[in-house]
Amino acid sequence: MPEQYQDTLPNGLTVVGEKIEGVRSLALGFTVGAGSAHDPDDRVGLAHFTEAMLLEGTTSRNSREISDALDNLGVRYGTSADSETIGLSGQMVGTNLGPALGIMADVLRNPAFPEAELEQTRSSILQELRHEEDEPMVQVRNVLRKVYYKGHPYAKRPTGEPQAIRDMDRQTIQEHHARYFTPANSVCAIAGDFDWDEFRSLAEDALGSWQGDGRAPEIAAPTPEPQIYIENRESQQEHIAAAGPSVPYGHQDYYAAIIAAEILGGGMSSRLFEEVREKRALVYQVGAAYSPGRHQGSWRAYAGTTPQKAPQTYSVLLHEMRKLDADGVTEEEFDRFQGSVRSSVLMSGESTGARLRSLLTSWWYERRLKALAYTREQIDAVTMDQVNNMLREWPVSGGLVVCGLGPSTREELTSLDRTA
Amino acid sequence: MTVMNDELLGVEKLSNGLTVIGQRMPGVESVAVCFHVRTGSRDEQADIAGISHFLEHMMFKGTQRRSAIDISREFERMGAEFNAFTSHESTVYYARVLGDQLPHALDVLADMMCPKLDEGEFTTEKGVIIEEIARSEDQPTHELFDHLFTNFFSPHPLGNSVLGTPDSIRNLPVEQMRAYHGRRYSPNNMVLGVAGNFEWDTLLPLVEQQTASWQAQDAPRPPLPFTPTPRTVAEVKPKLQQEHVAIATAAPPQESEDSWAADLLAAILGDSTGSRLYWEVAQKGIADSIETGYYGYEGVGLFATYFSASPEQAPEVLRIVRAEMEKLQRDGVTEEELARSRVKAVSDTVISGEASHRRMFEVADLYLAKGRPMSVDAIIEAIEGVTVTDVRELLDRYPFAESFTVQAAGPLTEDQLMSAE
Repeated sequence: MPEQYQDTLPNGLTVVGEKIEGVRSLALGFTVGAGSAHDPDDRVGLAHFTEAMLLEGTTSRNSREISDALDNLGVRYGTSADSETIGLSGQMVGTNLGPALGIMADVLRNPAFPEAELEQTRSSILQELRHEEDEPMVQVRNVLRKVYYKGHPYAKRPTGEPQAIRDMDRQTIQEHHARYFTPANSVCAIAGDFDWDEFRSLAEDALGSWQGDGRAPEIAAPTPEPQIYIENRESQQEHIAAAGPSVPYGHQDYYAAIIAAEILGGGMSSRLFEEVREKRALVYQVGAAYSPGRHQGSWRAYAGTTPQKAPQTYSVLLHEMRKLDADGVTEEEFDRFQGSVRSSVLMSGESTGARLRSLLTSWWYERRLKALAYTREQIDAVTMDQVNNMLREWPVSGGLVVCGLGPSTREELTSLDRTA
Repeated sequence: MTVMNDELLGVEKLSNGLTVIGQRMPGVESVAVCFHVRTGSRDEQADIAGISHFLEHMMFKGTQRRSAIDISREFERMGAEFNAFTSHESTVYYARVLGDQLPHALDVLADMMCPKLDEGEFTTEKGVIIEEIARSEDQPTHELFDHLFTNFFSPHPLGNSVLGTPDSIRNLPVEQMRAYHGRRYSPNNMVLGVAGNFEWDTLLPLVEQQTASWQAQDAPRPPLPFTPTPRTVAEVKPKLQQEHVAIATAAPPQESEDSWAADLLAAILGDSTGSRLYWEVAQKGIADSIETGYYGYEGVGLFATYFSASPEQAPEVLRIVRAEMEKLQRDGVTEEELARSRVKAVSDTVISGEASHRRMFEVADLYLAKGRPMSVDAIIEAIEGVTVTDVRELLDRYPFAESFTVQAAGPLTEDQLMSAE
């Protein structure tokens, strides 16, 4: 059984770890509460810009020195940013932990945000934003986020808004960094082949003198307004994406929600796959998922289809969601998907990268660690009645925001859906 | 049976011609298994374009013993991660399960290899394939690579499109697919790859039994000559915001021992971080991304570079790519950058060697490419054996300039795209 560890350094930084037997690699990462939800309204993209600048130089290393040093250690590294957090992580063979941690700590603590690199990064992000417009499947997620979270900090596009990126100045980035990149607002995690006492002392050396007590402000629960939102563009397919409220992280029905979403649209034997693709050949891609969230999670569904099939796809999609709410799940499908969720959790436990993400996420959103054995027990404890009761309280078709991106008008898309 | 039960890496050829290659991974609970069929779009004539990929879909649509729903529900019930994919020369069906489910997963996969190919299901599934083609057209990079292959390889069959066209799919009769399946899905044209938690003593008799009725027959893939010639095609798509550009140049085939040097050369030129193109293009912000990869196939290979840049910057980026290739061609690589690329490649090999499904794909792919099973340590040794001289010789054998082929999609015409050169 994997061992888990957790400690807090005197400066307030939480360090967590999970040892995985039989691997030679480890994954090391940081989550900092500095995501796009905290971007000022006229500076949407500040978090992403800050993230993109992290590897562009520290007070003692230029960008090439950072890159060469990590490459020479065989660290496969990267940064990320989403609504709540900025991340920095790397996977490596266990023996290189000390020097890798030293460089990553420097990147987090002492970025120099050099002027020349600022202009290069600005140009790069502006191109990235244009590239997103060329990918309707990315664009429909952006549209859904904007509509679903309208008025809430999560509505801000994590990659940024073009005008705000053009206007971004060095001082704003430095202030964002100074305010949010603090030990109290961060967590450091490790998963794989390591010795906890050694790691604990390396972390103390690299991060013990990190100061600051700024924390990200609380984010309130979103209040999405049910609606159908159409954005027309030229594309081969009509891209239909939907979201509706569901249970939050840490809720007693968290695993029941995962199982319910899998039954609806989580694979080749899910209801949506069988009804929309297998029987009717309306789509290549269709699916649904449960996406957890801090105060409220969400149900997600997607289908992509050519415009002449869009009305039927829309109608079958909505019909299956309402049917799940009205009739609940059957014993046979509950058993089938409870088993597959359990198996998939256990198999993901073999990857150092996947365990790192799990450690960071559960600490960030739930302030606790979840051992695989615990997760397994929780999945096994879910019952069919629990799933069906949960669906009555959090129906997958309740409060839906549906976005259509493509050539179809609202009237065309909804023309076969009689219950709307 | 010649493989000892405690052997970590082994290969066994069954009497029906099926090769079983496996990597035991003590301490890992999962096991991944695949049928890797040596067939893909390069084995198609124009009138059956897209048949390999369409057949891959139909393999999930039922057998004599199972309906389509039975197959996916059975996999789901055993907790499997399962899927399939088709490329230019392979079609791979796989499942990853916890160790105790291996016999069951193998039973379903082996049964799937003998599909019913029911005409009703066949006709219905055409709609799904046509949707998949439409979806690909909404992904500029996906479509771009398809067209790059055609532009670079044609008339060699590696230029054939994997998905086919809506017309080639609509016009395909089911008899053609039954005949194609009969020709290509012969046990001697397939490899069973396994990695993770299993024992040879139980695996081999099980596979023997499940494939006992399979008959070997010839599934030839005649070697064809390929002489690349530089060319440029720009598809003008005014609605795209960015200019999407892919560049192909000739590279060694997968069976060549040069493939290890080719992997490292591609990384030195265009890995997504820390490479020459990264510093000259991506880090300078003149493109939003740039990456070079090496792709080896039977008898042929290519280096493919992709970037996306604004229409104003794209001509300059293309000029830089060509200039960086010229510089590499002239001066070769330095000891220091080669050493760095070796460390990166070794690190990737170790990390992917820990995941049963990735190790399964790797062990089957490498067996087909190299004709021998390769352990993680053997791969590391091959990577670490690459010298500056090896890279020099590789560059001399495959000069970039002699095959520099450009495929672009975006607002620019060919003349506009080439205006910085």
